[in-house]
Amino acid sequence: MTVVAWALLPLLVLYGLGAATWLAHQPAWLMPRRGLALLGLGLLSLGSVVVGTVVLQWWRRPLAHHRPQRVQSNPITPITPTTPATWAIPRLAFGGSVPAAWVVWLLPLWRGPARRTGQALLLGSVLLAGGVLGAHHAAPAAAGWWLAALALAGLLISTRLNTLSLHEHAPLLAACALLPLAPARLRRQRLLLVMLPVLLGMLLLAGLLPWGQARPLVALAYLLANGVVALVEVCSPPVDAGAKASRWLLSLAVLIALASEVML
Amino acid sequence: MTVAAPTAAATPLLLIDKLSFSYPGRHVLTGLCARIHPGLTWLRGPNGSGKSTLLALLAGALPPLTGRLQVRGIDARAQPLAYRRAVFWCGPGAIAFDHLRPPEYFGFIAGLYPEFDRAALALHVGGLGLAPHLGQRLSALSTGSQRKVWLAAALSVGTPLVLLDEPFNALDAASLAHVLAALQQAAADTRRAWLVASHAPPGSTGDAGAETRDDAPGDALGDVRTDACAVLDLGSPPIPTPPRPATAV
Repeated sequence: MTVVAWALLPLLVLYGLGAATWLAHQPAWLMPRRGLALLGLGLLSLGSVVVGTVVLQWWRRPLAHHRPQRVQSNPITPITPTTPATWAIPRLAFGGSVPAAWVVWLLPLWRGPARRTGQALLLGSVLLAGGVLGAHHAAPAAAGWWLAALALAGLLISTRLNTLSLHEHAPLLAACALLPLAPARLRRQRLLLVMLPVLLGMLLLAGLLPWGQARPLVALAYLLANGVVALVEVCSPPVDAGAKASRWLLSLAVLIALASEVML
Repeated sequence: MTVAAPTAAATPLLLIDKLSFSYPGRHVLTGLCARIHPGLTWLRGPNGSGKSTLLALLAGALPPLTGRLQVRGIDARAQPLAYRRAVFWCGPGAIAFDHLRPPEYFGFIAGLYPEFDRAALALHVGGLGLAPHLGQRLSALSTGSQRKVWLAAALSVGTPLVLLDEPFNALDAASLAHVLAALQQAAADTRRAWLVASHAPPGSTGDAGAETRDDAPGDALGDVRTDACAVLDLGSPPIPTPPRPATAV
């Protein structure tokens, strides 16, 4: 239960922020029903934790319930185990095998060598998503400014995440070179991980943007440009400081120019 | 160099063809040729003769300068992913994925190698005394226990070729006996090849790293049957070569 609650915490915090924003504005339609709305939010959060716990419990059931054991073609009879082999990997999640992406990318974020990457990922996601939500509600008239600020924040976050991930995931990637794991697939997974905050932020922005008051093509170009700039930053081979600064300045110029033209 | 167990078939399981490798300033292997058949093969040689390097090359951890490696006809260069699926390497150190708990590590390996044998794993976990440690992360275990986890995976993985680098290091007596019993059966395995690099007899009380004994493999591998165990001898340690430009390596 605690694990599920911790895993859902970022989502629940976002829910809470959203509810607080609505309550701060005190819209007429909400005021008579705010008690009910808060109760609904509380029940929904509790329900998420309970469902998550049930799913985890279901995954933790013994392997034998999920998969029939393969007949051993080359039995090892003479070996006598010193302790009874009754456990038979009963406590494995994921039906007995653990996905490589979980082992290499996700689990190290909170209990492996990539904890700083994990913290930066969480902080970056919350900052970008919170920034989009907050700016959208607090300053809708100054969209050009906060869109430019969001672009800068996205670039900073993806660059920092990329640097941290390259450093902290390196030993695991070296170990993966000995395993039957396709390097291209691992590269794609790392890319997705590092770009996650920017992708989340842009998806949220796409959902909240008042498209009626915006230039749709420019807005679309702005959203895509944020993704492309982050992608270029993550995929580019290491270059000297001058080249990196030039790339950064060019990216920022393009993003700020687009940001200033998104709204009518 | 041809290595064959007495009961070996004509087609080798592992083909090493003109394999060469150098570290900067030091030749390690030059034109090594070997044919490894199913069963147990002891890779012996003095310290620095290139045993671990050869295993790392066979595992795909190091790129050879020249030469060809094939496991059951799967070429390491042409089909690297299929080749790595046919080979499992148990190195001399700790496991890199030490943020996992042993069952998670076994589940990870089981997901990568389709022939992973869970029934055998249960035996090896019991035999190596790992049951009390299953709830702990690998990083919280001693080096010896981490080695046991890796060994248990290697003994259960079911790949055609299993490479064990110094498998007797840091093992207690009961675990050593279990590994020796497993290798004794590996010697009679007609489907898989087990390549074991070990420079000292297990349980020897002397300075294990000082000299390599030129004994029969049965001595080096303890109770493993000698009649079915082949030997791949890497001979004397290589003589350092004069430093060469980095581009030549």
